Order: sequence, then C-alpha cells, then structure tokens
Amino acid sequence: MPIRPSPALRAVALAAALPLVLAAGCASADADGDDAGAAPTTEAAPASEPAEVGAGAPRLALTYDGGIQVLDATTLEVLADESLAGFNRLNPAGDGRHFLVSTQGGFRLLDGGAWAEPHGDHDHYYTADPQLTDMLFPAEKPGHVVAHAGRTVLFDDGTGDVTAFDSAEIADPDRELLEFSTPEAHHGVAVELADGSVLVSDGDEESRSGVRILDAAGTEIAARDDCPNVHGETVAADEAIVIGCQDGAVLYRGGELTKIDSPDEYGRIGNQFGTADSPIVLGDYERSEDDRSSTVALIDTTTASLRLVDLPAPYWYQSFDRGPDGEGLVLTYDGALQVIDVGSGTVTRSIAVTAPWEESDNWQDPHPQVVVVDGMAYVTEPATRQIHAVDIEGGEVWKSADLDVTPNELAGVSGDVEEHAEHEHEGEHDDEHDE
Amino acid sequence: MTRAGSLGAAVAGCLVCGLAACGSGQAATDDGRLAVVATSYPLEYVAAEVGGDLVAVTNLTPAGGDSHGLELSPRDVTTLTAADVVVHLSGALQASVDDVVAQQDPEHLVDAAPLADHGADPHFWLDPMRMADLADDVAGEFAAVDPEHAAEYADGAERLQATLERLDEQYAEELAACRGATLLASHEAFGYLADRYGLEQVGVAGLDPHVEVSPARLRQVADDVRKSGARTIFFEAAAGLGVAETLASELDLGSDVLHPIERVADDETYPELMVANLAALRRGLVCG
Repeated sequence: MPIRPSPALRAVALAAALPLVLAAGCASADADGDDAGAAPTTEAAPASEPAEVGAGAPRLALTYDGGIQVLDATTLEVLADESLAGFNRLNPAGDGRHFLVSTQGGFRLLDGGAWAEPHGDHDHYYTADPQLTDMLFPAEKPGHVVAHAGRTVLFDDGTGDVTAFDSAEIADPDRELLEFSTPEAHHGVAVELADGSVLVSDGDEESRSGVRILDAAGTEIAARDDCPNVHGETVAADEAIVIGCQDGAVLYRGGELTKIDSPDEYGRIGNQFGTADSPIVLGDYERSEDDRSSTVALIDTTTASLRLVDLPAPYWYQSFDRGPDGEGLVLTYDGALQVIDVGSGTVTRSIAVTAPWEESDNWQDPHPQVVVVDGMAYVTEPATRQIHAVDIEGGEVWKSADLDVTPNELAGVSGDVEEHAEHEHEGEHDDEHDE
Repeated sequence: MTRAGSLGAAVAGCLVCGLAACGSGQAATDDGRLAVVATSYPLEYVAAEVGGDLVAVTNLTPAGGDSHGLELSPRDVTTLTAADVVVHLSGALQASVDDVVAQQDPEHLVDAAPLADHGADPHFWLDPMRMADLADDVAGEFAAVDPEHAAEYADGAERLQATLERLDEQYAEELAACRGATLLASHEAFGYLADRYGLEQVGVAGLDPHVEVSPARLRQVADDVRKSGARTIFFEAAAGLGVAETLASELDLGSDVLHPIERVADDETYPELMVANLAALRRGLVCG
C-alpha cells in the first residue's frame, strides 16, 4: 500500500517550509530559542573560529539534570556546558560532528565542534567550541534517530512522522528533506538504506507489531505483522537490518523480511547493536517484563539464526555497544565490561571498570552507559560521577575523569568524516518504560 | 627521538612576527614600483624574486596566519583592487579569496591553479620545477603591465629558475638512492615532492603531534607504520608534549620535521626551507 502522501511530493513542500521554522530560532543565545527579536540567520554558525588540528578529535556528549556537557574524548576535559531543562536524550547525528538532542519541542542540534574536510587523498581536521545550537527539527515527541549510509532519519512518536535527510547537510537549513507519515502515531523507528528504500515500523499507541519496507518511491514492497512490541534497529554487514520483537527479531536482508523466533515464548529483544563489518548482531534479551536479564542474544544475519549467551551478571539495555573489532561489549552489574566474541558466543574478557551497581525502577535515573568512539569504550559511572575510557584490546581502564555533574545519557562522535554511518549505533534505545 | 628542535623553534617564532613581512597593506605605490598582491607565501616568494626592486609585493596571508580559509578584511579587498598584478592559487582552500578575486576580476591575474593538478592538494610549490613554471607566468604578466622592464622581469625569472634548478638537482642527486622509499607524513602535503623524486607518500591519519593519543589510535597508527616499512614520521612542526617520545618508543620510530612552506617566519625563505627539508628526508628516509 502506498504511504501518504508520497515522499517526493512532501519533500518539496517541506524543503520550502522548514528553513523558516529553523531561522526563527537561530542566532539567539537564549536556551528557549524563541526570542522574537533575534535576527534570523541561516547557518548554525560556530561559536568560535575554527582551528586546524592534526588529527580527528573525537567528542563525547553527556546529559545531566539541567544540561549537557561536551567532552574531549581523548583528554576527558569538559569543553562546553549548556543548560537544557527536562529529560533529554542524545544521539550522534550521523555526520561525525553533531548530536541530536531529543528534547522539548523536537530534535535539537548540538555541535560537537570537531570535524574533517576532505582535501584530496587526505582530510583536514578542525575544532571549534562545541555549542547547543538553536536549530530544531520540530517533533511532538522526538523518538529514534537512526543514521545509516550517510542519511539521518528522525521518528516523531507523537505523530508517526518520519523525516530523512543527508547527514552531511544536517546544519544546512536548505537541506532537502524527505518526509512521510506512518498510518498511525506510535513509538516507532525508520531506517533508510543506501538505495533509498526505507524500513519503517507500524502500529499505534496501543500496540505495534508491523515492519514495512518501502522502496525509494514510497511504495510498500514487503511487510510483516508478526513482531509484537517491535522496537529498535541496527544495521549489520551487507545492510542487513535487525528489528527487535517481544518473541524474537525481524531480519531484512537481500530484499526479504524474515522472522527469527526466540527460544522462549516471551523472549524480548528490544535493542540491537550491529556494525557494518560484522554479520552478527548483539541484542538484549528478556524472559519477562521485569527480568533483570543476564542473557544476551546473538543474531547471525547470514543464517537468520539466534543464540543466547549467559553473562556473569545482569545488565541494562544502555550498557551495550560494539568494540573496535566488532566485539560485543556489555557492562554488567558487577562493574565489569564483558567482552564477547560474537562469532563463538563466548565472553573472552571481563574488564573491571566501575563499582558494582544495579538498575533502579525508574529508567530515567542515571545508569552506567557504554559508548565506543574512535576505538575506545567510554563508560559513565553516575554513582561516583565519573567517566572512564577503556582500552578494550589492552584490557584495562586507560583513564578516568571526575565530573562535576551526574552523567545520564552518553553519546559520541568521531570528529572525522563518517564514511559509513552504520559504524555508529545511533538510536537504539528502549521504550518499554516510555510514558 | 626528536631531531628537529631548531626548525621547530623557528616555526613557533613565526607566531609573533606579525605583519612585518607583509608590506604596508597598501598595494598602490607612489614610487613607480608595480603593486603586486600575492595570496600566500610561495606565490609572494616567486613574485618578489621575479620583480626584484621593480615591484612591491603584499602577501594577504599574514605571516604565521593560516592561508587555508583565509577571510579578507575590507582593507585587504582594497589592497587587492588597487593591485597592478594579483598572483593567486584558486581552488585551494581559500574560497573567500577565490570569491573576491572572481568578483574584482583583476585585469592582470596569474592563477597558479594549472600547476596544482593533483586533485585537491595545493602544495605544488614543494616541486621546485613547478615553481619554475610559475616564474615564467609571473614574469609574463609583469611585462604585460610594465613592458618597459620586460627584460628585467625575464632576468628575474631566469635567476629564480637557476636557484630552483639547483634545488631540483640537489634533491634528485641526494634522493636518488631513496627511490621507492616511504615518506611517512602526519599530513599528506608532500605529494608533489614525492612524485618528482620517486618517493611513496603514506599518510598517518589520526596523529596530532601536540595532542595526547589514545591507546586504540596509537595501535591503529602502529599497524599503518609497520605496513609502510618507514622508520621516521615527518611532522609539520616539532612534536611536543612527549608525543614524539611516545611514538618513538611505542612504534620504534624517529620523528622529524618537514616544512610545508605554506607560511613562513620572517627569517625563513623558500630555498632555505627546501634545503632543510632535504636534509630531514636524508636523515629519515630508508635509502639504499
């Protein structure tokens, strides 16, 4: 069935309308961004003059109650501290430089202040002061941000609207937007593949179990409706997409949608972590709604099979990522970062990183988070207000830094050209506790 | 080990040299000299050598300033407009200067762009024979504006070309045994040089000699270096903060300085820096 209205038509309409929306808030130093007296500008101008540096400068962003800090990922020094009220979520925007903050009113652009510009057969690297810009992608209930193959896709849970654009043009108010809506608003997700086809979830506020594939023209070419509580996405090698279900996962590969069943009747996969180089996807796994699970799922996208791996202790869904060589990384309650060989399904190393911890009943409370940037794994420890940089191959914490805030959400950008946006794992977060 | 302390100090000194080398900022001259505007040091050098006492050359990139992304002040634009001859390299990361030059459309413009034909790499001047070609273009343009002194400009170009040819011979001779050697550079600015003298430029992406390096990145660089077979990493400036030592010990490598000669200190000149670069290459390359 064709989606409404056709993406091509809406893209034209939106490209014309959006610059006005964005311009209204630009150039205002106010956090609320609606200062009517502000002179409209058309660029998210850097706060400081760019300086050329000798190498890519990876950056981390972390939220705390009241704001967001941006850190130099190598020195762990705080480079910027921006106030922003409310519970905010963070995702890398897909261009190696910016973050998108899911906040009141929409997705707001945070400039990490480090980027690369191609210069023949090599790149030049620049840094400037990070800043929370006033550029906003309006959304009633900003949800998942998915960056893949140079495209960034936003999902508004409040309306079911999907907005996609070239990741590299994120700060350009004249960027061309592709926009369409799902039939009903739901906590959803959409991924755009290199050929312009789109995987999008389907459902409504009560329930959701559908996964649909639309070709570049917006026409449905495949669909399934057997993925209860559909959630999360990741892209593995050969652009295989894995979507989580309450009883397994749906795999989209080579033009076909396949259901992979969990061995348990209730065996929920909600968050998946893949890389462009590995056909194996790592997922969380729960046997009940309130399972404090210590089991993770490994999904082989080449055989559409699933196997479970037991870890020494429970984890929570945001203590996951993939290591520099595709290892599975999970920080467990015992404070150890478990390094999983996803091929053999074995824990090859446990690196002591934090003190023992456990999940609280409120998912919005600060918990340890794990993010890999530029080959290093970063782990926040809210209980001690610290952040740790972990060298996976070396098997040890490289350095730790004390923060003056309690870190909650964590995300990273490379400060480099993102050749394959799928190297990052944007947008995999959980909704089960969603309001 | 770091072997390039003195050159590094000279580079650092450039930060305070300010505008002294840049002339008065006014191109038009009352003393009958041609007002010439160049947009970066290598172009300034050629213009000054070719024109000698007959020209007053203004370099719009302040000494020690970054020629990449140069933004012109209104005064610079005035200077450019008043110039008798403009020497510029278009398409080389000076987009705003490109715009101004295109807008002003100077009657006498030497654009070095055809000499920088390696993709987006602007550093053509590291091949002295490309500089020699530029000398001809500049002399021709000077003569067009000031035909009375055409012979002097031609002489100036010839003298400069003799200097450049000597440099070229010296390079060719001293690097003859190094053909095929890997030139491991922290910033791949040396492609024209590598091409002319049969070297293989390999970039070490991801290292800034002034910035601490994570174990993961160091490992990545170590892999690249091992594959290249090189024994020295060339940085653009002397390494600091102990990173050179870290590299040397972790990677079993030396570090040295190759100057991209894009901007120079007051007391530095193109030929001297080219000679210093050659010495660094002789020290650091694995030659037969």
